[in-house]
Amino acid sequence: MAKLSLLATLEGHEERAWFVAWSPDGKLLASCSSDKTVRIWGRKAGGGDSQWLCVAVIEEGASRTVRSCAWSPCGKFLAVVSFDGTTSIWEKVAKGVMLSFELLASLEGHENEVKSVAWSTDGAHVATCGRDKSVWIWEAMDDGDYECVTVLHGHTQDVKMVAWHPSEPMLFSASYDNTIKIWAEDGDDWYCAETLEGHTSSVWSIALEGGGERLASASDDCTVLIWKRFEDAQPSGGRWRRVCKLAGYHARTVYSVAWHARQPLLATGAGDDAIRIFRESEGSSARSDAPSFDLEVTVASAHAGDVNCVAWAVTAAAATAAAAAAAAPHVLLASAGDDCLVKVWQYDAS
Amino acid sequence: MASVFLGDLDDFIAPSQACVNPLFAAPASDKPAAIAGNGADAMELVLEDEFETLAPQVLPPQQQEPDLIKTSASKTATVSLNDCLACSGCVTSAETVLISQQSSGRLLSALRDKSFAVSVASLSPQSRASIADYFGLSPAQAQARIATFLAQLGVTHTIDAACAGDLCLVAARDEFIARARSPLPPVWTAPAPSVAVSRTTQRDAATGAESFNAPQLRGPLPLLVSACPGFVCYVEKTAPEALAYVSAVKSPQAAAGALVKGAAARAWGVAPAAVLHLSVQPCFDRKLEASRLDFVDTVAAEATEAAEAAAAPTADVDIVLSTSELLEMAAQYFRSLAPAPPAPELAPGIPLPPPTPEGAALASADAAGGASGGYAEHVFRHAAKVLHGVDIPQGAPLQYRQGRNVDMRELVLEVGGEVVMRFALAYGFRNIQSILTQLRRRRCAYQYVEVMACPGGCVNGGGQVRPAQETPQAMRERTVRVGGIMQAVPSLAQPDDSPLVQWVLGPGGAMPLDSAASALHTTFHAVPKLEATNSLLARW
Amino acid sequence: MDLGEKQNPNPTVFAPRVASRKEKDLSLLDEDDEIGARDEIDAAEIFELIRHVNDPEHPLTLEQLQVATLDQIEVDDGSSAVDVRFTPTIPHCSMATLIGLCIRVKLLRSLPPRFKVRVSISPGTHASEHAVNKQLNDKERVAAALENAHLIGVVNKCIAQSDR
Repeated sequence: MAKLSLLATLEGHEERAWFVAWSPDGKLLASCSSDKTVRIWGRKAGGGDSQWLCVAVIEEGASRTVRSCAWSPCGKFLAVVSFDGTTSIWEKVAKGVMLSFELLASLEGHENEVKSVAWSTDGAHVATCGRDKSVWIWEAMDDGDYECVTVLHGHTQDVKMVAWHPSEPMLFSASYDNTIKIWAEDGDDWYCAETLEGHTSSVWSIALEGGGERLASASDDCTVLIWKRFEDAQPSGGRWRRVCKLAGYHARTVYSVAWHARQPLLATGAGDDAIRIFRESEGSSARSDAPSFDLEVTVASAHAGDVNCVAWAVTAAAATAAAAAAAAPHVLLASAGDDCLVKVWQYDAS
Repeated sequence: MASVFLGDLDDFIAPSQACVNPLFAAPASDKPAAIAGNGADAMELVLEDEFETLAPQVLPPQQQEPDLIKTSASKTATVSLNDCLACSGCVTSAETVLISQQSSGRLLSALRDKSFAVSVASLSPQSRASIADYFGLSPAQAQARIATFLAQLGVTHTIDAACAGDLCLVAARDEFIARARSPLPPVWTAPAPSVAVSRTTQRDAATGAESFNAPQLRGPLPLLVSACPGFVCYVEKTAPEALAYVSAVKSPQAAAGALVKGAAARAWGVAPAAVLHLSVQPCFDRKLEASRLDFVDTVAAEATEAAEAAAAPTADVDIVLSTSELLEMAAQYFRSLAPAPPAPELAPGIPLPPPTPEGAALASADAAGGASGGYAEHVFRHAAKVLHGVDIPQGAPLQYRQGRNVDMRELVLEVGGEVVMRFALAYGFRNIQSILTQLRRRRCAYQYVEVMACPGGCVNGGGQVRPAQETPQAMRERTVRVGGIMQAVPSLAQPDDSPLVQWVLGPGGAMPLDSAASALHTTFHAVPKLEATNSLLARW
Repeated sequence: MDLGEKQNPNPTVFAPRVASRKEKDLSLLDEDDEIGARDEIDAAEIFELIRHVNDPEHPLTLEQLQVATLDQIEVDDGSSAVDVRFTPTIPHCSMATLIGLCIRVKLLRSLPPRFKVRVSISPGTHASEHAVNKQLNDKERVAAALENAHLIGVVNKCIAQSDR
């Protein structure tokens, strides 16, 4: 039997924890909260994966809820977005065992709440989205500053989350308008290449599979949908089609979905306080036109309140899927909840 | 077929939310309005004092009429475009309002009622090029057909708005020279919120004190071109800190208004209010611009009995139609294969530039430099000569350097290996953001920026005729095509060569440029933030 | 289009139909409660919490306007679910989201955190029922609203007298 066991409970946030993000090397965990701070957590020496220490707190900067954050692919920078309309870029500076973060740039332009931020795989672009229905793409300049590359209008309601394709210049955005939009580059500007319709309520979270051929989306309609890119375009010109629906599992809004970078695992966090792990069924894969996923683990009261975010740790050591599978029989998952807590879990396959 | 649907309104700076303007309740004696209504349906915004009597009430156990409810007859309020201008709720305006208040229907009924002695249409060069492109006509043919069509409706004269654009270029270059010679230090501070009352009066939003609505001619560099109403709206509502940088020169549409209702009306011997001015423009935000109270005289100069009509409030521009709206009215006519009847006489008594062999007027404004008025191009050439003694021959094209994208271009003047002047053309919202960020950080390297909200500039305005398939590719091709049509129009080398400019701005001219309150300058305002009323809060 | 004038200038006012509960029942979060003790909650207690919430426009309570009534409340204590429906006085009332927010905030501040509260418009009683419900039950929108000083000021006024 596969299982998810609690390794550590990280206490420190004074209000709802909204989001967690692992650093690319898996050594640090950043968490965001309505208490206007970002906390950075690291492992205690000799404590393995079960003893964690708050190694830094980013306290200044945001005047309202810190909604989300993202590590740059190099791990040196952390982008932080807040309901106060700002996106700030922080540089990690080591100070002995402790870390400090120095403000490098402030990206202004959103009219109000910024809800999500994502760093492109090559580190050159940062995408943000928010209440003003827009998606912004920023480019890192040589001098450490950021310039607005484009402002994308198209969603008719708040944009909840943005996510980059892992290897192509393609951005995904999920919205309160129930749709997911795919933005692609056209010359030096971006345009909406596709709109994915299928959810019947707000789409809260999206996650690309490691290979970039499939997308998982989590919604207020209590379902998770799996979308796949097909070779042939539909009459509408669209190439992404819904291939699987995970319904009947979540009793309330699914706030977060995370696709493991190298293993066929989906984790979800939901308003029913539970964390669930789904594993792709035997014989099903990215090549399947009708893939299926089996619910493997349910941790019913993972948090004493809504689970707002789940995130798989990436272990940089295992460069290939095969190596990862061989070297790491267990993997780590972090979660953030309305109970102000951040938790670290260990997943063990059967 | 070009048909205007509400969803078509795409002026590139999209309103971020539904209209939150709390419309206006029964006039009570509460706080005076921050918003003044427009003309006849003027109405004042009354802010309810919420919960003034929240004390617990013991209520008899039967139905009763609560006494707090005001029962005074309340007029049914409608939102005017001016209300949109004065509201910080969203960046541009409610789409329904844009369409309903300045419509072809209004034009037709005004022409049918003959409520005006003279009616003048000013046709923007971008609109003309767009229609020429759609029907495969030459710009001159398009101009002639449009003029004939409008004449059949009863429009007395159709003039080329680019001629008014030439007036703007002269004012713009003078403004730049003055500012470059003695710029104020860079700032990033919003002025006190104010609202226009009329062309000459503005009211402080906080104190209610009225003062002269003075165009702000002095300021820091870079000078930002204010011809784009979308950009103006954005700055006034969202980035008032940048107002100090914004040019005080009117847009070509507003200048055409000043010409038609000012110098031309005088030349024709009619009161401004007796002239109907229709403006055909590539963008919907021009409708919003036209309703700015800064362009309205609310007090007649000398109210004599004869000038009764003149005493009515009169705006410089009465109705703005987008290119696509005009096309919708005229499509059938344009399609007919009948040869175009001769176009009516341009505007007798007004020395418009000599027409080309095919009948379109000649102007310098629409030819070079991005088809958005040619501001950077003309001011650059002029300033190179006046400030740095570099004479760039008229035949020699300027070297536009592309910046980080196609809509960001630079003009650089080097003297002795040193950069002495750096201009930019920043089109589209993304590049506006870049410029504003540079200003915010006091790190802007430019002295002059031609800012336009639409990617591709005015040829690509939201009101232009749309390609059948609105793919990025098709939109781009249209921009190139329509821009090319504009470039192909023979043009004057210099705005100074235009007889109109000489007539208007020359010695003893109709609109001298030497005073701050000249007919070619206007004022911009930091829009007061919407007061938090219940109705606004209902939209959390 | 949103009108600043009162949406419903002459609402019908109703007499209370449910007798008020005794003082002790109101304090669901008493400090002397045993740690870990589980307060059982029923619909009547929820109604008690919201009946005296004021309407944003009128000096009248939700109970007096019959915006909130006992029979529009369902509680499943076992699964910690609270479902509150309310009936705007007129189908186009733009105050509906604000009324809903007041109810939500009141319950948020009064109920133990284990409760999952759903606040929605009684089916068929509002023109934008779906949109209002969606907004009221989007916790991110609610969280952002509660950081808006103006808005929270209004909400606080509405619920200030609700602990009678």
